[in-house]
Amino acid sequence: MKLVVKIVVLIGLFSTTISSCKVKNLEDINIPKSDFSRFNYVLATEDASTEDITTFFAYNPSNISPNKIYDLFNEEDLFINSNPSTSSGHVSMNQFFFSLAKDKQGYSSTPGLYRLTLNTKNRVYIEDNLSISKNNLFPARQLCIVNENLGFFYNEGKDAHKIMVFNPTKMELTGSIDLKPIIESFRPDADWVDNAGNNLVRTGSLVIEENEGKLYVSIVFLETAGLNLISNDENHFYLAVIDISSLEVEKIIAYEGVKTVGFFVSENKATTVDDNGNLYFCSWGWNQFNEGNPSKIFRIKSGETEFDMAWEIDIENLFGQGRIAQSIISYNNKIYVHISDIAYPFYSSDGNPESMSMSYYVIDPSTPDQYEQLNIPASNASNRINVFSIIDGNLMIAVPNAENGKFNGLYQLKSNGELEKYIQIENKYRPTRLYKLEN
Amino acid sequence: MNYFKQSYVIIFCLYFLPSFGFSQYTICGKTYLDKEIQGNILVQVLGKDKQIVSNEDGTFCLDNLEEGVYHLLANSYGYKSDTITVKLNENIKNLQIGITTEFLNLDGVDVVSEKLTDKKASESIKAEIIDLTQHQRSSESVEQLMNSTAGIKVRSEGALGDDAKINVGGFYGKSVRFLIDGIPIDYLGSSMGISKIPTNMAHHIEIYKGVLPTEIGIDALGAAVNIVTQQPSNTGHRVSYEVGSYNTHRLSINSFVRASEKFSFGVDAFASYARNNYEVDDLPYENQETGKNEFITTKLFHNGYQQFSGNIFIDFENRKWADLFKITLNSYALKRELQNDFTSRSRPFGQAHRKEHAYAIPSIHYKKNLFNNKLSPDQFLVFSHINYALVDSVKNGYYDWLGERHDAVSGSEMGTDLSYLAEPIIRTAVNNLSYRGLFTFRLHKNHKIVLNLIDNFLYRIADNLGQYDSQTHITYNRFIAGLGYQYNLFNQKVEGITQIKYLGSQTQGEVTDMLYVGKSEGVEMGNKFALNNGVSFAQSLKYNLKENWIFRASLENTYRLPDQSEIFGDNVFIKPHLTLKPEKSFNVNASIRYKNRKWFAAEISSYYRNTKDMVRLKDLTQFSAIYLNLDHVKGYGIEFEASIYPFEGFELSGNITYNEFRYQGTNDEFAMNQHFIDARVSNMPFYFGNARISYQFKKLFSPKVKMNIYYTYNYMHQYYLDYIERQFEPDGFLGLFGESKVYTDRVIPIQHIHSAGMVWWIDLPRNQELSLGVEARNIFDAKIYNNFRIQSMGRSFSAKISYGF
Repeated sequence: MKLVVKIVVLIGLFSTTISSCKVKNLEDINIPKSDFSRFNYVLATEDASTEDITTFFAYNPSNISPNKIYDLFNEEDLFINSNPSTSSGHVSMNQFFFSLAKDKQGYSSTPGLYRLTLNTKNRVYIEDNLSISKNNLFPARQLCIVNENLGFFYNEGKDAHKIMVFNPTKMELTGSIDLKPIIESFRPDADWVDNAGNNLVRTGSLVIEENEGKLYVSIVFLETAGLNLISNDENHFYLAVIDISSLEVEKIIAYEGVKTVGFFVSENKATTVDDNGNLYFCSWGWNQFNEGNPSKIFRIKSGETEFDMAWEIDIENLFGQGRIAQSIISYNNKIYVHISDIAYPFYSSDGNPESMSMSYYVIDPSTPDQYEQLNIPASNASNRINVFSIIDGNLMIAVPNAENGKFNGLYQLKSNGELEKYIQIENKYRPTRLYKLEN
Repeated sequence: MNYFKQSYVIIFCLYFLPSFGFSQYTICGKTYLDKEIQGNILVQVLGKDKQIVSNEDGTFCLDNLEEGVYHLLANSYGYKSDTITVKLNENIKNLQIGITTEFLNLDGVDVVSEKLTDKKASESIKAEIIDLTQHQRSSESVEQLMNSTAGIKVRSEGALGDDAKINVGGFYGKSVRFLIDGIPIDYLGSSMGISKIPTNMAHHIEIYKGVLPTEIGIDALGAAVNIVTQQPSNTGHRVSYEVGSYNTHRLSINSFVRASEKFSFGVDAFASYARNNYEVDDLPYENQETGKNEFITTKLFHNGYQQFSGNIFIDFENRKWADLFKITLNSYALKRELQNDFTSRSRPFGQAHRKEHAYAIPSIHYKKNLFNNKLSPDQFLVFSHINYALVDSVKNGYYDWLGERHDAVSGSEMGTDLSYLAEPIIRTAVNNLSYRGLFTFRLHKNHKIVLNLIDNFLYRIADNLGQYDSQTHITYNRFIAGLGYQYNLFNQKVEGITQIKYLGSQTQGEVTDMLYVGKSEGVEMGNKFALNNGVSFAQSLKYNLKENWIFRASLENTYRLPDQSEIFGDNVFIKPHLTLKPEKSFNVNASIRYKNRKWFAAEISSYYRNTKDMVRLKDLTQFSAIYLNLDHVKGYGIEFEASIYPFEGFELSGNITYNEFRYQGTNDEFAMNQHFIDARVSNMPFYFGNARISYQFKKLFSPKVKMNIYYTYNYMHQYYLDYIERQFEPDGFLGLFGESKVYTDRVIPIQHIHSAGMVWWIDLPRNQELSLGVEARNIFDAKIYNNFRIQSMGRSFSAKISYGF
């Protein structure tokens, strides 16, 4: 009997030890939130040490003090956190925002068009998604939402030379635009594939933007598919111009002295449209391991569908050799840019962004050879995502700084020109985007 | 008669003729262990097909022996007696045959007694011993058995042939080294991986979670897995066939023929085939009409595995010039279909696969005791040429999860850039020349010195993916010299090993790209040379507190040398790093064990690790990465294991492991992860436990028929794929329960796995045995995520039939 008791006690101890381990840190069921009057602002952050950890924090702006430094996870009443394993996306629409990557691991991830929103507990979750094929070489892909019923994205793995058309409300494909015929007539001798059969002509990997009824889609003629390399002999950036109402491809236009726009990742949107309808493009100048070009900003003027050859901001000439513009936005008809303080070290990648110092400038398009530095602390680089967003009519400016003691958070520039701190967060959170979700 | 028929006849005669004969006498006696009567010891008649296991009281009787001279040997689990020669012309009634356990002897044996298993596990250097002989009849896999052991977690998708990774005592990845019979396993490629070998192919597995014995010569940080193969002494054969869910078939053959006291030969071989087409959930499947990803449950369709492995050997024994001269020829070939990326199932592959073969791997094993057994050299030499191929042949297409192919513009399926290759196959060949010299000097019955020299020379030729019709060439030589002093003191109350180990490696190869790490550190291109070395020290002690108590402790400072791939990269994405330093660790281990032979045994162990300069791959750009000496990790682990034997045949055992290994910082000046200092190491199970209940029917209707039934339970606690700051961990005791402040999908949830099985066997005349094992794994079909968030195999069944003769 004594023995049996001992055995029972031991089994009981083992069972108790095991069964008592209940951990709560996941939402099992996500019920979409319907009331977006509270906790409808979402701050996206990446961990300072790795882009793999992206966390979204839902909050009420009225509860935020700009002078306090928040440790977001610790302020559970103010910031409701969630990590649905996506990257932060550039585009938002009503109660949704969109991400193009999930399950990030370094530079790898699962592509897709993920639509995110808040659940009834104010935690961000993936509400719906469209498939984007994880093609063998995993290129960048851009997203453009024109209105609640029309959007475009690139899906090289499925159709290398087509742009997908979709309904962002229903999250369904509605068609596609085939760019191959016009590319064939534009460049009859184009190399379409490499020796192994990889696609060498990418469409929509760098730019998909709409303006004044036209859709602009980048076309890149690669030399090496795997490394996104454009030939040193190439000296133009190409755009297909598409009429949105008819989805007819009209022409291909070229801009000399630039090979790329933005970066070879999906979520750093490098185009912006000002209130007058001018469309601006920002080139970092990088061409991976091949020779790059100076970083430049160029445009298509309102009412035009050709590049404005009379207007350009040459970042090197204006700021110094090797310096680049990494983020761009137009706000109140001025161009805001995020520019490296020294020559950008492409040799070690976009990498080591924490070692780079970047400052914020404003340029009036009417005087492209003049600039003014904003009274905002310098930040680390933000290679994967645009630091500018417009919320409630104000320009929100992410200022990521991983080094302890430096300002890390967001500034806001109000429409009246007033520039002020918006939120400060601990340096371990790198602010990436801010969204306002509403019905 | 053709060649094959003649061969069969010869083999038949060689196998079976020695077992025919006419006998008249008996040899009876008792077996002893360290001068005390000990049962369950195997007594063998050398050169004859005769052996017996002594009874519980140590008595044994060998009968039906002809008149003549016989050489008897008793052995069990790494220990054996001196050979006893008897001249038999009348019955012998009181022969005493004894084994001493004063020093470890790595020779393998046939049958393992439960008590001697414990004896081995009671050495001054603690090792987990998985006795595969106890499981040869069952259909449990080696991986399952390892997963049920305290402090060990195998990470794989659960399919036959998976590339399994193992976490041992806080170490993982390349920090854990694998050996076979004390030799680094590299010369056999991946053919003897723990998810590949059947239980019949090895005698036991030793898992070291701290100091390694001198006999195990490897540059491990403190964790090593040594697969000890079968080393039978007498003629015996076993054929097993296993069939299981998902079209799994495994055939294994072990055959050993002792032709005479001086000559024997045998073969060990297995063939495996599995489709591994189990069902998994949440696979993204594109609705071609809407473009939506629908998440479906379906069967894997390109996850198969095939392998053949075998070796034939001949032993020359008890010669003037050699106690053992063994010539072995290994051969293997395997093919593994690749269903998905190794970290996710976001896309399926439909044709990609990996192949590996080495048709002839010759080796020589030579042992000769000298100077009246004072000096025992034991030498091993092997050469292998292994061919590897990664085939990525789908062009202009991709597969969906229903196995249908779709058109695309693409050069390969997996993303490999094959532009510079003539065909879509990446080939790598590795020549491996390994030598192991183990020299044991017996100074006194309680003192000996062991010198272990291991040299491992690799020459790797690989396709260069960055240049047309080009290959890269790398040579890598690793030399390890271990010197150990083993001693028993104070009337064998204290047993200790003091050892020092020199580790050196030389790597030579071509650098085809510049190296930039942080501060533009550069290395010129061309043929380069890298040298690494280190000296490690280890001390272990065992103290027999009193009759049932053992206390053990050890400490060491140890190194792991970077291997060639870490230094030279792959000439494509992974950049070279010639100045990569060895990983180093300071380890302390302690345990206390209680064993009441009647009904209870328990052990609590703890270990401390302080590991620095851990080698980790760091992304440099979108298309480049480099191995760097980065992380520092410190922490401790606690294991508790217990077994209860309340009545004969019944056993209840279990173990629980808790690891508290935490990140301590990095050498990476740009890491910006100071807030993770003291965070639990990510993507590593830290709390897990196992329980097993079994009952053996020693007599099922007849004394010759036996049956064992068992039920196992495995628990693994939730762990995170990313670092979580310590302050945000679940707020319960040790973070084991409560609410975390971090809501994330990047988590491996709590898992419970229940399995059950039975083994039935019958002893047939003339030492024949027939057995049947059946098992149901993961009975409740729980979702298991063991490797990243890739769902593992669900419920499965298997049956294994074995015939021994």
